[in-house]
Amino acid sequence: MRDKLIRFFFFTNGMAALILVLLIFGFLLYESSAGFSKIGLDRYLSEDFVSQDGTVVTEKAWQPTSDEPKYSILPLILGTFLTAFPATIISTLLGVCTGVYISEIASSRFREVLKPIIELFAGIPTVIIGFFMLVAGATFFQEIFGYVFRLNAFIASLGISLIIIPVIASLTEDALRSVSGDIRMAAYALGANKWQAIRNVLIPAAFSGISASIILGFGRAMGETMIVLMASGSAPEFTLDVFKSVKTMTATIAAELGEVSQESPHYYALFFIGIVLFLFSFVINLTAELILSKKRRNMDY
Amino acid sequence: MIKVNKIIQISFLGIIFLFGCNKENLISKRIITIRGSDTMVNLTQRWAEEYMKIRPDISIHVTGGGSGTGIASLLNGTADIANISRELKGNEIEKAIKLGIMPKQTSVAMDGIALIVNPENIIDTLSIEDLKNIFSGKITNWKDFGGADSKILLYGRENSSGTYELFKQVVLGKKEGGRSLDFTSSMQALQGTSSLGEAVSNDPNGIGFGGVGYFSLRSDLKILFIKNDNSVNAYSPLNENGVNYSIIWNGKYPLTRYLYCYTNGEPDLDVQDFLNYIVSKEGQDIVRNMEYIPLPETF
Repeated sequence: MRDKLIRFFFFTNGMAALILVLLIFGFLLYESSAGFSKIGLDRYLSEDFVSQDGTVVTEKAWQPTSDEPKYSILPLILGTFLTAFPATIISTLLGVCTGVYISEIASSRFREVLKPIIELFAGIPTVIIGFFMLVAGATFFQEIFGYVFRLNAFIASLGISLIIIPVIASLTEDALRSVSGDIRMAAYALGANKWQAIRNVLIPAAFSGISASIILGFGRAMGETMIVLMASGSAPEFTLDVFKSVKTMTATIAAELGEVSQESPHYYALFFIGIVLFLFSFVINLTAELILSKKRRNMDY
Repeated sequence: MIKVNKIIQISFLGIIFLFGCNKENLISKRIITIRGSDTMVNLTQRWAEEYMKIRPDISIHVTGGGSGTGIASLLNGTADIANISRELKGNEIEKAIKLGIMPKQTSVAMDGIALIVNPENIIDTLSIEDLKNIFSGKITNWKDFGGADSKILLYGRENSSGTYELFKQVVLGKKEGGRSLDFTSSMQALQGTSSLGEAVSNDPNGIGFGGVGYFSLRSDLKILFIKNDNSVNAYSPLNENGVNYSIIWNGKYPLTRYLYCYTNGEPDLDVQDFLNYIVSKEGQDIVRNMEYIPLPETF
């Protein structure tokens, strides 16, 4: 009896997570469905306007409260990638190196100290990081790089890196730790020094784990809201320049959903952004999961 | 086991009973529903709180949603008062009359915008036309106005804010070439007027706008003098004592508007009493404290 109860308890808890995700997705679809008919998929990309003199202007702009509302989410998607990509590149360089250092080079006593400290970094509230970049970081880097827009995609991506570096470092370390001791010993027995063992044996062996950590870090960067809201400048510009102000999908939802009038096209458009964001992060997490499960299968040999 | 069950049952009934009591109390109160402009939500909420202290028999529900929502709820009768931050347009009045509704307008407060630049900027005066060119992205360098040769950086508010709407209405309002103008997309949207002040005080090339009350005490910002297109003199909304109410009341400073409460015809006694409270001295003191502009003083 008790056995059954306990089993039921864990079953419901396990299922609750799954059902919640499905419900959230269903809710997003339901709320944005009216937007498909009222706005139309093509207007979410770009829209043509005819001026008085007959010239046609194709606008890719996010101006939902304008007299001529424009709902293109392309600038917002660009904004998300302009902050997430640089952040992932910076964190990959620093995070993988940190992971390698902790796993392979640091003495075991130092590792005991270093690992918790780095993981603690991931626990800094993002609003603190955003505030720091807004007040201090932006001016500091403006003096170094001399860019025009004080708040820009680059500043936001630096802020995001601070929270992804620990994610990547910690997962990289786990991946390297899980490389079997035999392989490590074999490399050293063949006369490899530390650098050769890391470069030619350990990193290739842990490659799938490391790439999964990078992909997960990228997913985290895309979903980050508070830092980009505060530090990216929030200008929905159609641009590929990292030193310009951008507005991300997450920041748009956060900034506008609280004030939008319900059941207006703007409201549905915000839910559509939610769906796009959901799909992006779903694909990213799925990819990481596939890589990891493939790795697990390979290790069974 | 049985005992525990009983306790749970009894406490459950108790909770239901308490909820019931609560509802009973609400029903006996007169409920006034107010919907509309997001600019006015906080202000109306403050009026309602203070008014309900005087009249505990009245419960006032305030929700936002924008002036459009306000008009809609006035037309379908779901609100006693519609908050609207502009005058009703001709076609809206026609539509209301067709539905048998007589919109009655009461001015309740004013709202104004100040333009701010960094104190390092040598420019003191701009016209409405200049502002239009700057914020729609046609002119992008300060040297076109006699300033330094550097790019103009625009700071504004989120597209849901009332100041954004007012600025768009007054400055970018007119159509050009068959298309309505809009803010250039390179304008950075900030989350509040204080962070906007912070941004402009850190940026020698920046220009921004916000409610007139917010900047009166800041020395690290310069308030611009604004000139109407057809007038010679430029005016600042502030003087050494803070907001310069007389300049705003006599219409010389262009970036202002009235805020209105609309009702269907003559409102009933309770609603009228609330409107009377709003335009009374106490009501207008709240307006001043909330950093809006009170109605012109008529002596």
